[in-house]
Amino acid sequence: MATIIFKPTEKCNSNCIYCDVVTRKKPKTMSLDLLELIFKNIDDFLKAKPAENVQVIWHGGEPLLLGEEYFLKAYEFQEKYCPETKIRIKHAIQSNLTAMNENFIGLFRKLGINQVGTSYEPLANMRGPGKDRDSAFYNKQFMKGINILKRNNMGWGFIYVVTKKSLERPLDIFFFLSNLKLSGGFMLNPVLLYGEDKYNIGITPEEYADFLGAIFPYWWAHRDRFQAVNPFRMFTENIIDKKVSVGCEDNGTCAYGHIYIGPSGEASQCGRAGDWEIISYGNINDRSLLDIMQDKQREQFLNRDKLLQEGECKDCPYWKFCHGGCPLDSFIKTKDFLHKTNRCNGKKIFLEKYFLPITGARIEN
Amino acid sequence: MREHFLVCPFDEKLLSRLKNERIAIVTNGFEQVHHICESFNDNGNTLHCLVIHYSGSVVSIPFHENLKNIPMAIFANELGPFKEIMARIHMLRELNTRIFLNSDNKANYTNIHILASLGVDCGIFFGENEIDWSALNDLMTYAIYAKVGHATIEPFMYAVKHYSPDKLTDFGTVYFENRESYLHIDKDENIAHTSKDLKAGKFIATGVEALSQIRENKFYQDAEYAWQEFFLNENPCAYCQAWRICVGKFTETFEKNPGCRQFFIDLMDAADFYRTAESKNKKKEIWQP
Ligand SMILES: C[S@@+](CC[C@H](N)C(=O)[O-])C[C@H]1O[C@@H](n2cnc3c(N)ncnc32)[C@H](O)[C@@H]1O
Ligand code: SF4
Ligand code: SF4
Ligand code: SF4
Repeated sequence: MATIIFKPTEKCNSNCIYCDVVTRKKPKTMSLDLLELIFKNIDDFLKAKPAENVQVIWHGGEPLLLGEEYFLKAYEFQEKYCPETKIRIKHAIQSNLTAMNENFIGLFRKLGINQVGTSYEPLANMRGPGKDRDSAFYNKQFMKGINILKRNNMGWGFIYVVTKKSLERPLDIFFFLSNLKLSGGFMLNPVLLYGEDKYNIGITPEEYADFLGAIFPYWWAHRDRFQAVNPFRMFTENIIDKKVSVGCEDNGTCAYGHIYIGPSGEASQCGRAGDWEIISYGNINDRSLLDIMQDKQREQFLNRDKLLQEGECKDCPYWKFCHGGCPLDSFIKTKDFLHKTNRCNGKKIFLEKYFLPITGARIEN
Repeated sequence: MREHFLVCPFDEKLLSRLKNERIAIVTNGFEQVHHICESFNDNGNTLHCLVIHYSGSVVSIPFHENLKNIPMAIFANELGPFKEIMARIHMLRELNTRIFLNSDNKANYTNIHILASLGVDCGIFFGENEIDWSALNDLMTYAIYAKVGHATIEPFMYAVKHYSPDKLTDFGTVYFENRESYLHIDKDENIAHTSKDLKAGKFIATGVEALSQIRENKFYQDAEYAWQEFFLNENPCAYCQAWRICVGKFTETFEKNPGCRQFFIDLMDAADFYRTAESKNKKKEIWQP
């Protein structure tokens, strides 16, 4: 599966405290001509790779600000340029939902989207529009958005970004989030900052581990109640159920599986690499998708896997579900992709101080 | 299809306007019981239950053989002397009745316990005074965990039986207050979600004709998401571990009397226990030759 992190717009109607996208002076939006070119490219790519599938993850900015017409165009381009390959194209979307309306439902369905990824924050003035981040407004609009999804039997899950402000109230936040979505389906992700921590919201990997550690005993004791909360569910599946399945950061195979395409057609390894402008694969206007997917720079990520397994991560019991973590987390610290993640210690703390003693599980080599 | 039960006062004109409905009739005495039952022969309506708010003590209720098959929920403030209960115990056990006693009267926590142990289905309803959460917890523990046989106690039994971790459990059903199951209607045909809304004039619609289309009604639909207000207004219930089984029912008293939280956490544990026990096929097999 080739995953395209597709960012057709950098515009947003929110001003979330930790978001890089909104710091752009002049947010850009992809032209329809370029959108058309992308579908042509996807078709070429899939024809050249008959065993491949493509997943297009609509990101932003706020993708719903593109408007209904834009999504309709995307559908029409797909119909026009990918008549044989469209069956191998899947779409997904990550939206703040605050601009959601009923008309999007039909369009999502046309694109085969039946669930939406979104983002939520119970603490005030973290997510929301305007200088003061009007979270009351955001939250109200967000609820309207999820109600539209529910009324139309669309699924939803969300990301919660753990910041320094979250550290004071881990359990409160966890209960709030799990009350908001009783069937689970959310992720507790650490805030990732590149550059200055203007609002003093950054957390260390160790703080993140302790944040998770404050919640984990409750989750574990009542995991039937709280269900799919990540990373807990993921660690449980990997370590206890022995079903190794991890995200792009930890599976060691991101080298040839991911591509980021930004609003001007700029290509990079993934969303973060694109946002932080630290890896460039040129531009889709000048290079085919296939060509970008085979960019020489990608080799370093493949080699990294071997390098770490024999070097910094040698004999690490957690290798199977870590693979040295995300190369960008190495870059943050060392300006080099070829080291292990800067979150290594945090991972180990969570596992050794909380997960393993609480579950009584053992790591098998 | 609309699956609601209707809750209304006894009003012959109103009843004559309702067709093929399942109806709970609210009344405050026993004088009219048979007359009410007889009025259910027309229009295809069925009597779901008689909801009797009785101001006297339970022992003063004129229980009689001929009440035997009538579904009744009796809400009373007092029980009366046990000696007199015992004199009626055989009949009480046979009635199709649940007796609810008021939490305002402290003795009722024990009364309910004893009534259940005597085989009478019963329950507690919440009055105006502060709830004794610890006594309520003891009662719930007995209701769910006790190994000796006893009759059911509500709302605990409903809560544990219907508890499902990925949904809200609304035990208001046992008090005929749950928007999913009940609609309240007065003699002027005003329709509301709860008896409280009906009293406060918060109507969804007026006129029995509106009933068949009620799910399309905007006020009806809006109420489906009323719970979200807790999440938008920094309400402590949104942060409560027991939200999914309480749904903020005691939010107004939480600050003064926060024991609700621990009580409902324990109720969720009881629900988990109940589910596990049910799935283990109830009876344990002991060694046999
Ligand atoms: C950039 S947004 C784009 C989609 C959409 N606007 C939304 O908010 O869901 C994608 C996700 O990245 C998260 N995010 C933004 N900045 C982040 C940061 N500095 N660290 C970690 N996650 C971040 C957001 O909370 C959101 O869940
Ligand atoms: S809604 Fe999404 S894109 Fe917009 S500011 Fe927030 S995190 Fe960034
Ligand atoms: S936990 Fe640390 S040492 Fe182990 S694989 Fe991950 S990054 Fe490498
Ligand atoms: S138990 Fe108390 S705090 Fe919790 S939801 Fe119910 S009323 Fe609110």
